[in-house]
Amino acid sequence: MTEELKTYLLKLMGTVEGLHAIAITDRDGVVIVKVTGQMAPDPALRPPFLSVFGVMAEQASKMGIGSNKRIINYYSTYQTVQVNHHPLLLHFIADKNANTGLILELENELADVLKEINKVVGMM
Amino acid sequence: MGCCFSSDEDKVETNIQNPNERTPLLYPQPGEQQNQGGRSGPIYSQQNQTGDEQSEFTRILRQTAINVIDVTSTESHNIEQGDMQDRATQYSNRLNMVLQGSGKSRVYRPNLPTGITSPQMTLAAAPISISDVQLITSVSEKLANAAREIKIQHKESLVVTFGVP
Repeated sequence: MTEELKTYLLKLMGTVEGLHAIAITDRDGVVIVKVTGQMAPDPALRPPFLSVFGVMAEQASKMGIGSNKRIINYYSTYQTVQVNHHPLLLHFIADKNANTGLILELENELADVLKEINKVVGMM
Repeated sequence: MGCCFSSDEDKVETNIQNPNERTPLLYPQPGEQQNQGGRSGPIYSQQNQTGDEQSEFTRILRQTAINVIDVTSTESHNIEQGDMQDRATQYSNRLNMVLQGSGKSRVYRPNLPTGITSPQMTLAAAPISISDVQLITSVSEKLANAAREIKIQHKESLVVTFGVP
């Protein structure tokens, strides 16, 4: 069953040119499901990187302008789009030239999947 | 935690007449003040005061810790590698369980990009003629010019009394 979900995520990943990886983690950056392409940078998919977003979103929520929803980072060769979808975190790793708007739109596409995965985190 | 207001009665009266954010809602009884040797502020027993101060202190500390923006706190969130592996395995098992239970995973299918309901029809259709493109361009230019030339002349009052007899 997880394989079917991964196949779906891979298909979804293929709809955005330059998107290399999708990871869904819990608040601590523990991977629940992850799909990667050949070009995905390994360091961006390791726990030290994935866990930082949860903390940063939490800290950024203290700025007095509401809760932090997304953090987008542009690096010299890659971009990362990270979405705070309580209690889950979504991580999209893409090429620097990938269409960021299309990546952000994937959150809506993933709504059904996220509902299912929410249950998994709720059971812990 | 003392109170900043003075025990001088004249000042208290002034405060009552002009209340501000420092005006206390409760004033100590004059008799109690004399017993405490003219000490200002609300009077509590020594033990209660210490307890209240402690709890207030703890509350302020906790609130401050929550409010402080501390980007170095990532260190404290790091989990042991082993724990992380265990949790990831648990997630994997439970995800399988949840997906099997719901049976929904089969219907997961990427949607077509919004705005293109039938891309095969659009792509297979013959391209539109140059004259049509020119027509669209000229009409849209005319429309844009017309929209720019619209001037609003107001005739009636912009403020309307509503529900006032």
